Amino acid sequence: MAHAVKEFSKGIVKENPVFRLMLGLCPALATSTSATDAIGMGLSMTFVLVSSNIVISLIRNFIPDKIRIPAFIVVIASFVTIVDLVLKGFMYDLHKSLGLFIPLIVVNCIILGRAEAFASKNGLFLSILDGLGMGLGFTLALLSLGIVRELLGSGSLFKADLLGPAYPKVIIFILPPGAFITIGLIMGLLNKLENKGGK
Amino acid sequence: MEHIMLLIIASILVSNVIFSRFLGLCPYFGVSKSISTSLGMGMAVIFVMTLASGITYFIQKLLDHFGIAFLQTIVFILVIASLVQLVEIVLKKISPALYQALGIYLPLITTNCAILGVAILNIQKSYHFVETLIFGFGSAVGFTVALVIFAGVRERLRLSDIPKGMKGPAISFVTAGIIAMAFMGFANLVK
Amino acid sequence: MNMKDNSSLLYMVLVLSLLTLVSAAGLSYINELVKEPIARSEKLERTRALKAVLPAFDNDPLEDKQEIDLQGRTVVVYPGRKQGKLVGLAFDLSTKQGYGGEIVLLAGFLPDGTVNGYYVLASSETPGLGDRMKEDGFKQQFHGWDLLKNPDFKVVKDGGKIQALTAATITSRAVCDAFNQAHAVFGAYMKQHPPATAENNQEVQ
Repeated sequence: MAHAVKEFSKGIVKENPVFRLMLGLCPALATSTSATDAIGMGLSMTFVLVSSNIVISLIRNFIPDKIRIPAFIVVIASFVTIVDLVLKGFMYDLHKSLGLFIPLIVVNCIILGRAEAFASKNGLFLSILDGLGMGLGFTLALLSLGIVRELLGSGSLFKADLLGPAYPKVIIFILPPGAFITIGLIMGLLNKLENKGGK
Repeated sequence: MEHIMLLIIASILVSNVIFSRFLGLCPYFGVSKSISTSLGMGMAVIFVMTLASGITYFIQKLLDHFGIAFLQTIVFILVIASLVQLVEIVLKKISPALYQALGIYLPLITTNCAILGVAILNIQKSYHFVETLIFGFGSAVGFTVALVIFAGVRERLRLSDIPKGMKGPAISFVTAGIIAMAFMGFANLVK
Repeated sequence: MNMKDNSSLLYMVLVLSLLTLVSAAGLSYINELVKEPIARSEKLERTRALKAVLPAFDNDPLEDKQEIDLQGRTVVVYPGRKQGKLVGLAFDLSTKQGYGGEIVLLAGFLPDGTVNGYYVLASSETPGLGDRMKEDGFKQQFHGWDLLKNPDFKVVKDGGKIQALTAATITSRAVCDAFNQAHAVFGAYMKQHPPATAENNQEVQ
């Protein structure tokens, strides 16, 4: 049981895909302009990750080694298309916000990475946990970026105006430079906390 | 001709894939450790992206014709993956030295969101064939430019005195942010 | 039996083909399933847009939509009426010159040719920059614009009157480009469906 918990929790902090493994950066920076979009992307990606982990884990013994990458890609791309279609039908506004980055989930290095490193080598239960953990870590990373950027850049949180019209919006935070700077500073902060804890 | 020049400049500087569109970030931080690997990766990306843009242009026409546009994601990514495999095989034969230098970065191009992203963007912008090739080529050049600039800066950073917590990726990202701000200055370059 | 190590070409082709087939079939099925919800969402969006760009109306502009012929292509116009009288009309304006691709707006006009506002139906512009075309600050410039007197929309940089969005000249130009189609559509509608009331006797060229 401890083993299972470890498989789940590693993706949240120790091996956080965005802050530690530096994977999934494109959607992390592009969709964290607001906390709402951040969560939307995080959950969509988690769905794809867990679903493809499940399928790949189930069929792992039938895929010839030589074609495993194309096979993984077909599985992942299918679930991404499902998310794209379902969002368009049931969460139209989110679909509009995330735009180009929904199909880009397919090249999110986290998903292919977990398929290759874990799901293709482990059983169903552990693969699900791995997917959930990494997905949660990704979502939390995006959420932290999204909260900072939306608050500072738009004065709102989850699209609800928080700081009032008197707040001078520091727009740079919802622009590309702000994204880079924010993630750099958060990483620096995490490093500092880790160094302190190590002592 | 003027239109083409504008398109090239726009895709390299004004709407730089990395600093404006957030595409191609994963390899960005992995490869930019040295200027030479950056150049090598850049060349590979230029080749693959231009080819991929051209091929996906025709594939989209086919998809639209058969009414299966919802299969765009799957078909595009499979085409790109195959293209990269092809480049690997060809490169191994033509220039084993370059093949060795690029190492693991070559197959990584498949997951470079810039390639799939630009392919989809071409369709979104309804570019015709020549525009598609130019935008693909220009975007890849922009990627290379961004990569080389960054590699240059990182080589210098290694010799600088940086607070312990900010060493490594942390300071790299902040630096990228500053470069991104500089690139924003290009926003009004196209007229 | 671990098929992973089977590297016969036949098996590889078989697995990949089977996988692709199952995936394509599954996706086609889901595509069919979501066609209706997507249509519903789009209709909801359009209704929201119509309410935003037309003055108060008591009819159903979607139901009452009319088609006009504009140099060979069909344009759909949504009339807003109050107690049977035309109070405004709305139609789509689109441009391919957006930063991230096509921008589609629903623009609303008063019967005298004044712009009443617009709603962005589809766009892929940069958040914080071009995306701000959705904000009132930028939109206000178009509000009250007399289409008949000034059919041309241009940004200040190009000699016009529209202040472009900061660092988003491309998007601003694209919105102008979309609006430049408005005059022709408005004129064609007034010709083909002249509102039969005393107030609107102006001849629109």
